[in-house]
Amino acid sequence: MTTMSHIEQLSLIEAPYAETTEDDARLFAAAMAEADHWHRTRNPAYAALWVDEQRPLIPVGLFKRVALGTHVEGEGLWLSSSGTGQKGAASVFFDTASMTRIERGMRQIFYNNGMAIAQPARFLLLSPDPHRSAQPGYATSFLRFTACAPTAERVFAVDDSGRFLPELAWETLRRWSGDSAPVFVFGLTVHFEHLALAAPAQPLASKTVVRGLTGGGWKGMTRQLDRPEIVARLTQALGDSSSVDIRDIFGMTEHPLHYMSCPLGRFHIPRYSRLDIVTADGRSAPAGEVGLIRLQNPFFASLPSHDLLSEDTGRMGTGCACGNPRPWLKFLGRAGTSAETCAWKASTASGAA
Amino acid sequence: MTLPLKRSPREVARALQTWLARLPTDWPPADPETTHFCRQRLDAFADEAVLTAKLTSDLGNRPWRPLGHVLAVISENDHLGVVAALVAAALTGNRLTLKSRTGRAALESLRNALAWDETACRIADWDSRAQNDDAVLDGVDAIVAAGSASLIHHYRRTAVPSVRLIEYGPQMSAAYVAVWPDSATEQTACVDALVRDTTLFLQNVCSSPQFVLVPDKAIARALFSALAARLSTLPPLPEEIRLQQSIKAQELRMLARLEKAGEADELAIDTDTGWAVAYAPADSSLWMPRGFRLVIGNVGNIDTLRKNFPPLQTLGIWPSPENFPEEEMALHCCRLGRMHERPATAPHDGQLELAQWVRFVSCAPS
Repeated sequence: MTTMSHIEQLSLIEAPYAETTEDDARLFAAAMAEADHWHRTRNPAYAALWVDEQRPLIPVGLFKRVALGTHVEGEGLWLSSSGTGQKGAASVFFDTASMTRIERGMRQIFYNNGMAIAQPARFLLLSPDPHRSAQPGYATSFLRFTACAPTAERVFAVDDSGRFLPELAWETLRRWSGDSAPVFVFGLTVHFEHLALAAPAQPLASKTVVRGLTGGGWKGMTRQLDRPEIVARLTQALGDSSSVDIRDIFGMTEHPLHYMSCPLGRFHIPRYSRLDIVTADGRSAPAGEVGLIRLQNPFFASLPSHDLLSEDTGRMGTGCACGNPRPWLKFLGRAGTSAETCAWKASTASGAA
Repeated sequence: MTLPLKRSPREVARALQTWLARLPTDWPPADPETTHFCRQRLDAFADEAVLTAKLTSDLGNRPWRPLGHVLAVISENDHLGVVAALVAAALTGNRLTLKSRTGRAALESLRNALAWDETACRIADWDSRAQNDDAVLDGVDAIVAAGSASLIHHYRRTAVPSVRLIEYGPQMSAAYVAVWPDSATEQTACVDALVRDTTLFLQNVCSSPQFVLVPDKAIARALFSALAARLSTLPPLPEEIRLQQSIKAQELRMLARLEKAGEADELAIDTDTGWAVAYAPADSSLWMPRGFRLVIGNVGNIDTLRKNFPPLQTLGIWPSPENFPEEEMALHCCRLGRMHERPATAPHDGQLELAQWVRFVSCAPS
């Protein structure tokens, strides 16, 4: 992948939330063209999807259905999704070069959202330790996010079988509340919900800044509290609301980057990527209209997912009271969960499918 | 048997008539064809003779007593099923708690027409995911659970053994086009019937055909063309489902291109209505979420049918169900176009099996 200079240049952008310039647009188009060439020349299956020199917009489900990876020499890491989609978990190979670009981009995303600091910090991970046993990709992602600060201490509050341990989580937060070392809490939204439901009646009166990141495929799978309620309960339980900052993460295993919400809950799309909302008839939706989320990013050498149509719905817009000038995404949920007919459930329940 | 909650077929029929006369014409909320169909069915149901025949057919002359307090949790996709629960409770004299979100006002109006109060029939909504099972099941003698497998599993887990569980889990129905007519008129009638059965309730209830069995490729091709020409005229699917149809169509087209070297003509979709027709494999994970899925096979080959699909609830047959071993293929066989039109007295697994709402009693002669 050493020849992919435009892609490398794109990944080296240090102000990801600056407004798009003409140079930016040119660089992005060139990087996407490089990705096209890379995958078309090395991946016959992907090349077969091109029609009339038109880049295929690949639905994310196709990656779960067939092996569409592009062969990449060298070492890397296999990661799998949370498996909450209709076709189960997806596995993606992250080659070293792709991983370097992704980490570079994510570092900037964290830094520019105030989630990267130089001071040693404590990490409470509402996820299992991926070093102890094979775990879904989110466990590795949350562990990688800890690169946002030097680690003073790290605690995993989900056991190897995926069981959340609320007593351990609150005991840890109580222990850490006594001094000023910053605290980060990363985890699936559903585990944040369980943390909120198990919150002590007496607030901790934490002396430190607590930063949280929720995310993963369990969006929309919370059972009792919606996201604002979860954040409100945790904010109250952790102490002074001004020292608690809980953001959301949006991403997919098949897409290289994760996007972080602003304080107003919108995912601003950095200059590394492009966002589009696609209607049922394949049009680009105007601002504010609901449709399927389409994301473009050329960082993956091992997967031709640089133009990806997700199964999630959202709407996009520009201009945000948080001051970020980049286009934003409002995530709405997984498309079609209500489309399941009783017969569909019957075929699934009976194992006929 | 004098029971304060029990209503006679005459009283129930009159209550239904009074209620229907007062209901807004656009109830139940659905596409116009489904609303019209439901109103026709309810009108037919509001007949003393029909209800008397039902009572006689289901309970006979044997002595019985009501179960007591019945909790009914019924998918509101099935507008008729929810009303049927109220009617069943009234005919059998059971106290009823009915969970309802979207139809609450209309159902309360039916309750009032039956001269029932809140004690006799409580209609309420609550968040099932956060429900306090002890409170919900307090004093309940039976549960009518009609919906997803998870709903049924939940009540199996939480109900004590003395509570009767009346379960209607998810089921699959299908259509079978045994012959493709020669005359254009008959072809149109066949497609009309298939379209009606499929699009009513937007293919969302257990009696909706989820696949169309055809005996050979020639009939499949003819049906595909005829249905593809109709897609733009069908009632539009909700936006969320149209989005899902769109992404699935794209996935299947690409899959076809990868697996069949460019052959991607086995699917037609209308992006305005969202409806689709496709040649479909037996593997339902490769089906479009909604639409006409054409499966080539013979309904006479029961073993193949059983291997690939769960037991069918309803099988709608064109041109007619005669000469087919109906009891082996499905719980209910009928002519295509009438899949949602079971007679109230038909033996089936619908909501209104009155025998499930009572306990039969006896007394040995001395």
